[in-house]
Amino acid sequence: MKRTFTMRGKIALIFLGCMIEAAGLAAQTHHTLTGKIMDAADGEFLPGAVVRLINDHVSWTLADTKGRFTMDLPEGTVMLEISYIGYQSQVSELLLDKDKDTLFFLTPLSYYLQGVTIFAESPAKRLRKAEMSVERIDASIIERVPTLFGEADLLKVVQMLPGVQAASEGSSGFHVRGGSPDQNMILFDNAALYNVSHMLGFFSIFNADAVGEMTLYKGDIPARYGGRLSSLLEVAAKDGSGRFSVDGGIGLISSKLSVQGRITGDNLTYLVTGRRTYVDLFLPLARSEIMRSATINFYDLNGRMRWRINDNNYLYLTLYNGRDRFKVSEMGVKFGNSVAALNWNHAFANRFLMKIHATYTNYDYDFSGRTNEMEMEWTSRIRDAGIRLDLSYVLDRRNIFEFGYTSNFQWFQPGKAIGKGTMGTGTQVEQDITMSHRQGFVNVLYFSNEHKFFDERIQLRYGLRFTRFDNVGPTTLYQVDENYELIDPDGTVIPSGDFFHHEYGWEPRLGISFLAFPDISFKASYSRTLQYVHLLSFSSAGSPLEIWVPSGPSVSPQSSHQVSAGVFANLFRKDYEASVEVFYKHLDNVLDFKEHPNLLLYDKIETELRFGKGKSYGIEFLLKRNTGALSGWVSYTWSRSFRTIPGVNNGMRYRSPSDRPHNINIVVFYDISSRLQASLNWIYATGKPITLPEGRYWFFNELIPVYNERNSYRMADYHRMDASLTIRLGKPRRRWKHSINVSVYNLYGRKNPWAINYRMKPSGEQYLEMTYLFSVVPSITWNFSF
Amino acid sequence: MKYIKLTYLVLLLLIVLSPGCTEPIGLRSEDMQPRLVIAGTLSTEPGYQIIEISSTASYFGTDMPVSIDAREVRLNGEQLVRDAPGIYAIGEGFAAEEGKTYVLEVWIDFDQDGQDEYYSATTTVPHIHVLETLSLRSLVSGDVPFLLMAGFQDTPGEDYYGAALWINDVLYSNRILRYYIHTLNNYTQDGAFIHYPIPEWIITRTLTWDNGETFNLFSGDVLTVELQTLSKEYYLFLQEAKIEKNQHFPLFSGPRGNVTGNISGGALGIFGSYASSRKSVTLPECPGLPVRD
Repeated sequence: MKRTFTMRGKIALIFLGCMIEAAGLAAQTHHTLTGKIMDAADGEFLPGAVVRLINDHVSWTLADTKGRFTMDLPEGTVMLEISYIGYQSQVSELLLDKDKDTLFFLTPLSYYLQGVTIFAESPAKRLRKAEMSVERIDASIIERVPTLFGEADLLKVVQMLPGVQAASEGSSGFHVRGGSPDQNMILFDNAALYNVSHMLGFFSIFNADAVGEMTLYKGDIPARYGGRLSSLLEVAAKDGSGRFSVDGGIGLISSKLSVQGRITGDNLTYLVTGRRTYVDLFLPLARSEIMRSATINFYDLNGRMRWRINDNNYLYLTLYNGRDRFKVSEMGVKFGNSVAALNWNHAFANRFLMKIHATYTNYDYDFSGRTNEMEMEWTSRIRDAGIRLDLSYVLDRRNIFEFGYTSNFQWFQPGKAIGKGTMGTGTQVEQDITMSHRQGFVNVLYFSNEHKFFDERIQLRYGLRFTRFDNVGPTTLYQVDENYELIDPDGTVIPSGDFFHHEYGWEPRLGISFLAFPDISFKASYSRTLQYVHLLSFSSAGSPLEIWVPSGPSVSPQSSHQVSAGVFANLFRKDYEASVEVFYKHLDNVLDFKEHPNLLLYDKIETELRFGKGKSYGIEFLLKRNTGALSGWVSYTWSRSFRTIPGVNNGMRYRSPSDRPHNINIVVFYDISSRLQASLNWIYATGKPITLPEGRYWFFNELIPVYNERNSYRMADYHRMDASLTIRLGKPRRRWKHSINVSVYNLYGRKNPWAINYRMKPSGEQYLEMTYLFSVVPSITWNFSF
Repeated sequence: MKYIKLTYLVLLLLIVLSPGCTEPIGLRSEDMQPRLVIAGTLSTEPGYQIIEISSTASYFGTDMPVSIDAREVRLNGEQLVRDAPGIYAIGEGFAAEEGKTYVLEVWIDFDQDGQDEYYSATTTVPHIHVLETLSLRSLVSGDVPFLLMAGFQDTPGEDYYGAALWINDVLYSNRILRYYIHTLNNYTQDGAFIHYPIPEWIITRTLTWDNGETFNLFSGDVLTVELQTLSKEYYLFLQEAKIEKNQHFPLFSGPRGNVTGNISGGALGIFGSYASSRKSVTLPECPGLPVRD
């Protein structure tokens, strides 16, 4: 006989079932498991390590600042997974028949591990977290991606992520979701960087040996960060392991060396890395005598120190200095960054953590030349000093509250050119073109809360950031009217220390995730960002001679609203991660320049700028495999990006330089054997928008081009394949390890257009000529460590 | 070791031999609807001065821009005489007056709808800056290369300068890229007596121009420089035109765009003016310069 239940009956049965299960659980005996999680290499505690009961989404805990944890678990055999960023996860089976105290040692992900961790975050955590549009890349992956001249480069890996595109061939600049390169905030241990290029962008300033991890926020930026519209790239310096070791690499055009160890006792570790190129080696092959005597090189030095004062206090010091030198005959340019960052982490209690960061950045360049009787020097400098206080308080297991304060003072010396010489009949002449100094003072208060509901299936993260920006004298202030004409051509002299203009704004941040199924979650986010400093450059190739200026009375802050939504899944026993994200970004006061602007050494720069609106939208697909001999990722992005700016393109909408609808990245790592590793990547992107003439007329015996619409044409599509093979030499388990890496950039010799110029045949017929930078570029590097 | 050396050399060679270069591509833009172009510059130097009217041609076609006639062209109210198709002469021996404003008016049925369209532009002739000295300054002791040094009294405020070069009375600056423009507005020497080195023309034994054309110089050759004080709109037009005619590379170049003119009514081109002053210098005998046969 078929038995039927009424709705009320069904509810009663479910309730009864729950009661029986709860009673059973209550009757089950529990024991307390306590333990410590430590680094297997040096015995350091691992605060924040995750201990999780396998097959249970609820039972997990974090190790405190001393690496300790406590869990109440049912009696019997339990399977625990212990994980920590940058370490190989460990699964342990324990018979819990009484309260137990145990030690767990995690092994750092090292050179000889099988497989790699591409995204330095556990798949389950990535699924649950109320954050999206974020990519975390472990340092180990940077060295495996084949790159130009075999020089491992963090930014070249960033350019292979979904939603990210290189600004141009070989460049360190990148576009994130339709934004321009200056809309990316790059922090190196919390210090803001303004130019991250070596050698015109072919290399970045990040030596892979000095980088621990990098996180790219493509829009859903945490409330504690801001300052740029499109993205935040947070680069964390690598800590010394504490065990003395030397690592090095000798390549065709550069070599590097790093030394790490501990200074006294167990508490003070260090890591020092250095890198230098010797491109000059090629120059003796040049035909020109001037080139044979030229100098082209760069170096960088990184230092990192970690001091564990006690279990509650850690001090970190990061230092960086790098410089490029290019000299031909008596003309030369030098440029580089200096960075210092001091971070102090203090735990007041297990639930209350304070971090204080003091940072200083200096970027400068010096362009000089001389003849027998004349000399000139053009210098520019940017300095940024800041302090940040981050406080986080774990209210309970479901709430983590963060709040803090940031203050940055920015000095900009956009340009100073001095020419001296003897002219005519021995007259001494000195010419001085100095652009006014500009100073900005940014103060920020923020808070955010991460709230978990419904067995942590729903996570909500909300925050607010209040920013105030002040212009500070001394400077000469130029203001323009609505037609961009100077109100006072001589400007107004502002005395030193005068706070003469301010801007402020609110930046709300919101993110939500819903774990709908054990391996599928849905996420959405909204963020508003403000940008108070602006890059005055139309170079897409990482020119060192860049000028940044702060907002002011005639330079409005840029702002953006971005909404994103997506679905995230772990597939095939979490071996694969997949995601689909859609985004829409609206930009206000987005900056562009009038036609043929005058940007170099021009003090009244306000007349050259134009402001308007922009928007970009798109969809990003990502499939990645984190573990196993065959790993990597495949991504496809479809996106569009437009600008509408009065005074540019007759006020009509036009494609932004980053509007490249289709973008595919395939990155594959394959461990052929314990001695052989192969890597391969393939990149495809729709051609870059360009402006082409449609008509021409005679003037001054020249054919002057006539244009119809900005960026209405495209270069040929970009695609390239790179490959590398690493052969490990020597015997395993020996302290002395070495390997050979052979890589080929642009494997099939694709001629990707870098620039397009006009040419005319003798018949008067015009044609286009493209310049491409690279054909097949092979390289070989020998790496060693002991 | 031999093997390593060989590998290194082979890879080095491959890198050196595989840099990028240039090659023609088949990309083309669409053909544009023809647009009207009006161009003319007035000079204080007496001579044959004209206004040219033409129509644009497609950029990638084989057709060249064509001169077209207007119904009427007037300068400060006086009708100009058509001298040839699209060429309107201002008058034999005409010299613009310093400080005077000129108004150009053109009536033409360019869109051929039976109705004339009206175009106009104005220019105010700048004051002459007399080129008081012109000398050659050797970059190495007494020999080529030489820099041409122009000496003149600048006036305080905005001034826009141009310079044209003649070699033995043959105009060398007959194209935009061979013509020099500069402004001293942002210099501390604004208003001072200027000894200005003209960097565009570094005088060597052989001058090579942008199109690959070369010209040999000899001791005794006479170099004449005309210092021109340009009206602002003409200077800006020349500045943008030079940018458009130069090569573009991502490192330093911005997006391309139309050269901004001052003709009202939507026509392309420029109506500008300049005041001029000339000076000559003779190339000396020196080891680097041969003597003309």
